[in-house]
Amino acid sequence: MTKGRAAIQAWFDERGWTEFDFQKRCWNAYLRGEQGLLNAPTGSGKTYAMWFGPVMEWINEQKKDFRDVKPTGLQVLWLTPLRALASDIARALQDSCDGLGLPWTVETRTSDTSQAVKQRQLKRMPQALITTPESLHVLLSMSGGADLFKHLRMAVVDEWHELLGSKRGTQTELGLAHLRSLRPKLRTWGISATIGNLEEAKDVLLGAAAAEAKSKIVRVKQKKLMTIESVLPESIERFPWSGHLGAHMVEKIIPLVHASKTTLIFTNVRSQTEIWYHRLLEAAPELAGQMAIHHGSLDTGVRHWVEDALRRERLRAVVCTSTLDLGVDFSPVETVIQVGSPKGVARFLQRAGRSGHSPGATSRMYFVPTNALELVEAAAIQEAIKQTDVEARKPIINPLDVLVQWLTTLASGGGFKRAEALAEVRGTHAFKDISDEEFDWVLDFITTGGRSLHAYDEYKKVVLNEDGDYAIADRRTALRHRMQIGTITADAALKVQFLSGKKLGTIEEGFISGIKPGKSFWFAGRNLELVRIKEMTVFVKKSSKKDGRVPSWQGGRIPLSTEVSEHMRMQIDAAAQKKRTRRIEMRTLEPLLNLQRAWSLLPEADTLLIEKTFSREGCHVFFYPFEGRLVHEGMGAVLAYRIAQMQPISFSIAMNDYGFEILSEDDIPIEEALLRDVFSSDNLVEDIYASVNATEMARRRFREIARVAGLVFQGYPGQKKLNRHLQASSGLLFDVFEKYDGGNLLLRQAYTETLAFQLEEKRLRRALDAIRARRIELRYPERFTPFAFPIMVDRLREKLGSERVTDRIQKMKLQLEEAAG
Amino acid sequence: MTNELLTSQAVVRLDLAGEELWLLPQRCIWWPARHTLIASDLHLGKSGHFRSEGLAVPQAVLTADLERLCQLIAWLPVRRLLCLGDLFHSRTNPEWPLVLEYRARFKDAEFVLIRGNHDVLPAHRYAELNIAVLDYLTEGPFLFVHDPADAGHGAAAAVTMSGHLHPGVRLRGRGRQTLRLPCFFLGSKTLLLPAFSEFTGLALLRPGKGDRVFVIADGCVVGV
Repeated sequence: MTKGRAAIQAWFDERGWTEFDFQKRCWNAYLRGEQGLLNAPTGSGKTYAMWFGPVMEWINEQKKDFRDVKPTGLQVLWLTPLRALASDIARALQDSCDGLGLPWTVETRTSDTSQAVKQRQLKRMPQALITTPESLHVLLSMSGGADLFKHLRMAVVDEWHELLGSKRGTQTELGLAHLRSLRPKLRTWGISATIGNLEEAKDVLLGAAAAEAKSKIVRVKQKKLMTIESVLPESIERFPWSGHLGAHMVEKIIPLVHASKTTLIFTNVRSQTEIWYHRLLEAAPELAGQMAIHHGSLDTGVRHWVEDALRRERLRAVVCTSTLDLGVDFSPVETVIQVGSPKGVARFLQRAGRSGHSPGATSRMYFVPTNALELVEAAAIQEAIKQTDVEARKPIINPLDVLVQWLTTLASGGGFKRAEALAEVRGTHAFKDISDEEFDWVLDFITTGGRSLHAYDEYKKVVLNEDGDYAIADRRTALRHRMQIGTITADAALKVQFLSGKKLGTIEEGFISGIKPGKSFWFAGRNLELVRIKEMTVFVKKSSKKDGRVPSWQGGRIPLSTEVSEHMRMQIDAAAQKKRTRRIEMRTLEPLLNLQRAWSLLPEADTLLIEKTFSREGCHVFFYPFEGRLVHEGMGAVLAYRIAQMQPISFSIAMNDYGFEILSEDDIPIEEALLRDVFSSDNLVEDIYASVNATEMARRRFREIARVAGLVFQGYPGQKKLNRHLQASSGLLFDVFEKYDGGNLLLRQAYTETLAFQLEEKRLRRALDAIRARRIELRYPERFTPFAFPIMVDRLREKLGSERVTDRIQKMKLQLEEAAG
Repeated sequence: MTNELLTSQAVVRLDLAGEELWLLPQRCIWWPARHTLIASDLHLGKSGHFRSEGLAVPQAVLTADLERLCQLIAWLPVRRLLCLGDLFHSRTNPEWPLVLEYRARFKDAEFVLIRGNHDVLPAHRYAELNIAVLDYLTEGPFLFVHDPADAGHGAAAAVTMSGHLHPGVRLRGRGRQTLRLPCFFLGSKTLLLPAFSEFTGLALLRPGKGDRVFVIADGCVVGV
């Protein structure tokens, strides 16, 4: 046994712990020089599985007693997606060093770290640094940043599944590729929860380095114990067919809260947390002071307070959104309640795992449906969990906005040469296929700002020196770039704060502009009265009124995942074939399913059901592909467009996660359309562009791209007033690029992203091809069926039209209101 | 080209305090009786200012604004160009020589600038361009200022014309359609001009009773 191994074992023994098999496998793999991915749930001991590999290695290298050696430089870099996690990890790692007598220091470096500490770290690095991908990039953007890593032996990426599939993931890939060229012997390991594409996740993490050394996935065999239970309505007859309030379920939740020490109540969107918090307090006033609210628009101070109170067992319940999905170890949490469908298997598992957060403990999860068909989703998700059908996280390919940012980062940090940077960038999974033309376009963009049209241009960002070095133009530009590093983008939002100065969070302009001073609204679980809006701040005071509106935040509606939709079809298929089911949700739903069967049809898995119904509104045609809202949005638009090509007709389209509806005043010739192969995936992209407002969608996409690529300047932190002379919205930039620089690759990227993420073009194509292989059953029910009704009442309606803007204007109503004041 | 772009469908002719005014889709106003073209908020040099700070705005946006202005001056018998402020975007204007080149193309026209909050160049710069700079101007039934808040300069005037705000409105249609468009905004005693420069944001206004709004879309001015 080596010195290092012996020291670790002694440390475990001292604590009365036993090493897990997967931990030993990780250490050994690391010591053999391998890299890879550890697939482990939170609370399983995954941190030590990574940490002691390099620790043992270092101890083994020391000739004298390792306790007396003065260590040099940074040995282990630990990346985490959430800076809130950093200090917890640092504490655990530092404790182990102290226990071992290992003379290492462990520190964090995030946007919360003080300037003094950051400065000291540049002079003297700790042996382990816990940081975020953004903070790593900031380090690399400093001149001399590369020197900080010359002793680095291991990079760990925690919660890799969270980063993968986002631009922060691409950022991580680029950072790692650069570290590898600085330190060719660097070993990279990731930690990931279970996702559908673990192999791919590993390959993305390692990039080109995957081929060079042996790599592996270490799986934790111990099964996390979990109980899942649906909270069922008293009677399905009185349970609503649609909607998402589910207020009548409140009484059912209160006993669950009372039965546990601490409960997390997850909702899917921020506005729902406000509503449920309010409802729970009304129904159980005794919870006042013991219940809190947590979502992404609340001020960091408020959120930190809630997280801290959770850890100290001061709270009985927290109503929250995905902001509490990961991270911080909330051991006191005994029970998790999910309100409404989580829409995905991975998300459900992640949330369930928030309870029973220590090795061997049981996770307890309750699912609260808010309408009837969500019971099918509950059954589908449980079946998917049983068969470990978990969603894949697809990595992002070729995001040039991230590359623009990265090359500027490299230029700031001592400069780069084209060939080296290109080779390095091609070493990542994201850019492995980038063409010379694309790369050179990015280089040109950062050095000349695109085509120069006249002689008086003074574009200044990155300069190409005579010796072929790309370097940042000046210190000011470097400083500004550093401020802007990061890919997380927030919408333009107004701060909400009390007159006394206490900050509560942020709110979208669209909501608050509809509220007049003196009126009240719910926010952060409080009823607030709007006093005034000044610059970008909403000043409020406590309101004594009972009523008040609940703000809505844009985004947040998650579409049903492919895995859940597949299992939903299977659940309905089983019901259609009258198979006996042990799923209580499906048994509860039987009366409703029988109604669907009696009025129309319960489709088997190889069948696509279409229903045509007439009402006073006109002709409704419903389709039920069960493919998620985004796919239905695209499919509905394309179908309506293709039918409109057959004869002049105009439609409105509505959709939910189960299906979509096209509605017209005239009879819709669906019978004829079906004969003409309207579900073909030929010319799909052309028909999408012809049928949806892709420009508007791309404009929204461009907001993120413009920020990542540094096209909008958000001002320096602490600077009270923005530099007004440099302000332009991303929407304005989009319009200007669209008009004057159509070949701009960032603009093209906005359209590509729209197709890929907004319209899920690949999934749409697959869905269309699948439909063509299915039997189509067209029914003519006399009234709206249980499947149709929720789509009908869902307010998500889009209108199809190809009219000119000026014609549209004539039809639109100008908002006529009393001028304010 | 001329005729096509200034057709009666594209332009709104307005009778205001007894004077005829043409609201042009080129984001400015033609006052035929005085041979005057009125434009506001040109923000010349804005793209150059962005670019010199490393923000890669396509510079074509500046030349497009200047081209549009020169075309109008070529088509219409313009004797005077009246700018209601914010002619230049900021103190540093790398594109100054370009502006000089364009000024030479309509050197016979008189050029009057009502000083706006962005107009902070030293006096010799305006002299170089042969521009007369005023704080406000009263002429006929009109008071011309930059900021509508400065309407007090000429209480006697029937209508105050101003810029500064970059007015726009949001139109809403069925099925969640919305459009944000620049506009001319006509109140009982005020007329707000849209920003002439395309590289400017919009301040969304909500019309009250009696306000009239003329949006600019697809090369047309349309009353809504």
